[in-house]
Amino acid sequence: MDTKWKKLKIILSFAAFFLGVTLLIGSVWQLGRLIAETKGEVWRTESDYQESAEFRRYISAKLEELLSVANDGERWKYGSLMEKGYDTQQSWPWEGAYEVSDAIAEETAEDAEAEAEYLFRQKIQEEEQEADTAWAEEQSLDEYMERMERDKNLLYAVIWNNRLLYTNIEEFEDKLGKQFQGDVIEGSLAADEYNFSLWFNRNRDGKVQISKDGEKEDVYGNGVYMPDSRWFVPGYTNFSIDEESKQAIIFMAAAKEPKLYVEEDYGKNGTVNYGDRLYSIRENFLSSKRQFKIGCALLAVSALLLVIAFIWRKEKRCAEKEISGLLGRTFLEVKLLFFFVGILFALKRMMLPLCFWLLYLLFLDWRENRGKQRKPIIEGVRTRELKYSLQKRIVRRGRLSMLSGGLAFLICCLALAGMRNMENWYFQDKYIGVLLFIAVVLLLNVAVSFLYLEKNRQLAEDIGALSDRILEVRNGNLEDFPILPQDAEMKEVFENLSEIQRGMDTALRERMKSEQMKVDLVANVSHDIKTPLTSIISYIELLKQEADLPEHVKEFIRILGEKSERLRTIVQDVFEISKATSGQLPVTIDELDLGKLVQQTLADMDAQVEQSGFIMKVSIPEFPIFIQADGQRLYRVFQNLIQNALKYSLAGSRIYLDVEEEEGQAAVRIKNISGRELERTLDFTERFVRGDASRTDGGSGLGLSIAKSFTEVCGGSLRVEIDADLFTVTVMFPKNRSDG
Amino acid sequence: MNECVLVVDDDREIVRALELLLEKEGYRVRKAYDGMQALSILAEQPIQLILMDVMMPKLDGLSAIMKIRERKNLPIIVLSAKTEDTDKVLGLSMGADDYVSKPFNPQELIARVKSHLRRYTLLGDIHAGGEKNEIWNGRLCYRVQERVLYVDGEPVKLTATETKMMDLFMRNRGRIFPAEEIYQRVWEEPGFAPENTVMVHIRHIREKIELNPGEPEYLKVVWGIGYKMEKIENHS
Repeated sequence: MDTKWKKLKIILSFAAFFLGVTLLIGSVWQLGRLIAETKGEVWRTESDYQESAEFRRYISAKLEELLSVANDGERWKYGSLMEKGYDTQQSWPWEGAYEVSDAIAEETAEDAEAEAEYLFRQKIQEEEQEADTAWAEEQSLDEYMERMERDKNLLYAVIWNNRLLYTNIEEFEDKLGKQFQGDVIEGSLAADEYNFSLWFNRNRDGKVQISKDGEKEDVYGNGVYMPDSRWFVPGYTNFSIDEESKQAIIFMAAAKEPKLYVEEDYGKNGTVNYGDRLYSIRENFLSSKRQFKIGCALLAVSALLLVIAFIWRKEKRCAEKEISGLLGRTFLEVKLLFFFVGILFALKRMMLPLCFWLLYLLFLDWRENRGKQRKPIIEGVRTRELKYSLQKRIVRRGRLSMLSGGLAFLICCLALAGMRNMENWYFQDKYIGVLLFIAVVLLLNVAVSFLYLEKNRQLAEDIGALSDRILEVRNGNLEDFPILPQDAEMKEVFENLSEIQRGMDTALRERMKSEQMKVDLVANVSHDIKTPLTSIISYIELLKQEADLPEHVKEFIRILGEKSERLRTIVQDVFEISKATSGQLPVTIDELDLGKLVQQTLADMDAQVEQSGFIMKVSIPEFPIFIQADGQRLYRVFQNLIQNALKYSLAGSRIYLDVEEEEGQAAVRIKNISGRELERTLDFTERFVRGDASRTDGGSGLGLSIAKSFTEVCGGSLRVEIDADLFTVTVMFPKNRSDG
Repeated sequence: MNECVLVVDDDREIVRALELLLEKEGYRVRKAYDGMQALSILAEQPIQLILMDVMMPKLDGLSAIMKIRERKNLPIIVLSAKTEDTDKVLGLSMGADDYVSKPFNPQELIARVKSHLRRYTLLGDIHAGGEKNEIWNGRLCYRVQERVLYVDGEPVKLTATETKMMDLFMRNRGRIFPAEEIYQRVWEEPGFAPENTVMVHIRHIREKIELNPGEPEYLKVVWGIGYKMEKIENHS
C-alpha cells in the first residue's frame, strides 16, 4: 500500500510539474500575445467594444470616407479624393476590413493543422486585394454607397448644404436629396440599440461631437492632436478641415451589439456579408477578453501545480531519474534525431512548451547520464564490424559505402520527383525544405563514405607498415620494433609476424649455435683422431725401417702407410669444410688473374695429369681476367675439380677446361664424361656424396663439397650440371670492374 | 754427433716412436711427459733441441717454451694437433723455431730436426757473422760471387737454369715474379705459355731445398699472380 502510494506520488508529482510548466508557458505566452496584440487593452475591465482602439479607428475611417463622399460625390475616385480631401493616413475603406480578416486568419493559423489552409487563404487574399484595387477604381460611388447602406450596424447620414445626400436610416430615406435638418435624427433612433452617435460639423464649427449612452465625450482633450490621441478626427487646433468640407454635416451611429447581415442572392455573387466589420471588431474584442481571463485562470492553475510539484520535489526527482535512465538507454543518434526534429517542429508551430520539454530532456540527459551514455549505434556497428575477418570487413565497407551512395541517390531522385509535383505555388515554399533534405541526405552519404574511407586509409597505412616490416624481416632484421596498428585485426597480423620474427630469430641463433657446436665437435674429434694417427704413422715408419721382413709384410705395411695417409687427408678436409660452411674459414682476398691461376694449377698437377693418361683440352684467354679471391683456397678448388675429373672420367675420354668471360662474370668450366652412370637427382656438392654409392673408389666424397664451399667463401658460385654422362662443373666469379 | 734431443709429449707412444726414430738417426733422446718434467730435465742435462707438444698436463707447451726462452737459445720444434694458422703464429711468436702439425710425416720431422741442429751447432757462428756476399734466408744461404746455394750449410747441386732462377729469387726475397718475367730473365727471351716450364724447374729446385716439397716453405706459388721466395727471419 505504501509503495503503491509512493509510486503514485512520484507519477503525480511529475504530472503536476509537467502540467504546471506547460500551462505556465502556454498561459504566459497567450497573455503576452494578447497584451501585445491589443496594446494593453485587455487589461481594462470594460467589456464595451466601443472602447477599443479598433473601433475608434474604424469610426474615424468611416467619417473620413463619408466626408469625402459628401465633399464631392462626383469626385469619388479615391485618387483625386486624396488630393482634394484632407490629408489622410487611412483613405482605403477596405483596408481596415482586411486587417481584421488578417487578424482572424492569424488566429486560425494558430491552429497548426490549418496552417497550409491559412497560407492558401493568404494567397487568395493577396490576389483578391489586387483585383479589388482594380475593381475599386471602376466602382462607382453609388455602388459603394449601396454596399454601405446594407450595414445596419453603422447608421449614417450625410448632409451637404442642408440637403440629405446619403443615409441608411430607413426613416429618412424619403428625404434624400431634400432639405434636411440633421437634428431630427437623434430622437428617431432607439438609444438602447445604437448607444454611440457621432456628429460632424453639427454646430458648423468643423468639429466632431461624440455621445455614448447619452453622455457626451470629450473628443479633443486639450485640443492638440498627438499620435496617442483617442480620436483621429478633424477639429483639433492642429488638425483642421478645408472650408468646402465644412458645408458637410455627417451623422454616424454604431450599434450596441452589432449583428451580422448576410445577403444571399443565390446564383449571382454568392453570399455577401454586410456589417461584418463592426461585428468582428466586437467579437475580437470580446474573445480577447475571454482568452485573457482563461489565460489568467490557467496561470493560477499552473502556479498551484508548480507549488504541488515543489512540495513533492523529492518524488519529482525520482521521476526525473527514471526518465533520464530511459534516456541513457537510448542510442545517441535516436536522441539527437528526436531532439532536432522536435525542436524544428516546435519552433515552426510556436509550440513553446514542447521546446521547453525537449530542452529539459536534454538537460536531464546531460545532468544524469554524463559519462555513462549508451554507446551510439555507430559504435555498435564498429564493434560488430570486428566480428568479421579482415578481408570480409574491407568488402563490407565497400558495400556499405556503395549502399549508402545508392540510397542517397534514390532518396534524392524521389525528392526531386516530389518537387515536380510542387510546381503549384501553394507548395513553393517547400522547395527549400526539399533541397535542405537532399543536402542532408547527401551530407550523410558523404559522411558515411568518408568514415569508411578513413578506415580503409588506416588499414592501408597498416598494410604498408606490415609490408615494410616483412621486408625488414626478409632483409634479416629480426629485432622487435613496436608498431601499433589502428585496426584490431591488423594488430593480430602484426603479432603473428612478430611471432614468426622471433621464431626465425631463435631458429637462426640455434642454427648458429649448432653450427658452432658442429665446428667445435669436428675440431675436437679431428684432434682426437690426429693424436692416435700420429702414433700410427710414426710406428708404420718404424716398421718400414725394419729390416729382414718378409715381402708380404712389407706389402701390408705399404698399404697401412697409404691408408693412414688418406685418413690424415680426410681428417684435414672434414675439419676445413666444417669451418668453411660455418663461415669460420679465414680468407685473404686479393686481386688475381683467374686464367693464370688455372694455368698454375695445371702446371702444379702436371705429373698427376700425365699419370692419369687423360688428355686435357684447356682453353684460357690470352688476356688476364681479374677477380677478387683467396688464391690458396681457389687453388684447392681447381685442384679438387681436376682431381675429380681425373678420377671419375671414362677411360680414354677427354677432359675440357675452359676459362671464359661472360657478362661481367669470369667462368671456369670443367667438362668430363663420367665413367659411371650418374644419378641425376644426386647433389654432388653435398658432403660425402659420390657417384658411386658403394664408396670403394678411394674418394673421400669431399672434393666437390670442398670446392663448392671454398668457392663460396671466396665470393663465387659453383654449379654442377649433368647431361646424360656429361658432367659439367661451372665456377663463376664476378669480374673485377677496375680492369674493364 | 750424439746431440741430445728432448722429446716432450703426454702421449707416451708418440714419445717412444720419436725416441726410436731419433735414435736410429744417432741422436740421444731424453723424454718428458709434461712441461714441468721438461723444465727440470732441461735444468739438469745438456740438451741441444726440443720437440714439444702443446697440449699437456701441468704445464702446457707454450708456457714451457716461454720459460725456456728466458734462459736458453736452443732450437724448439712445436708438435701440435692444432693446425690453424693462428696456432702456428702463436707458437712461433712464443719463441718456437718451427711448427709441425700432427699427424706429421716422421721423415720430414727428422729432416727438420737435422736441419735445425746443423744450423744451431755448426753454422751458428757463420750465420751470426753474416758476410756481405752471402744472402741468408732461413735454412738457405746463397753466396753471390760463387753462385752457390747452401742448405743447412751444405752446398746444393743446381743446374745452370736452376742457379739462374735461385739467383733471381735470393736477390729478391719476398718479391712476386710472374712466370713471364722469370722466363724472360732466366732464358733471356720472351716465353710463350711459360707457366709449365717455370713450374717444372721450381718443382725441381723444391726437391733440393725444401724439407717437404709437397708443402714448400721457401719457393711458393702465389696463385693467380706468380712465384716468390718467402722471406724467412732467422730465430737463432
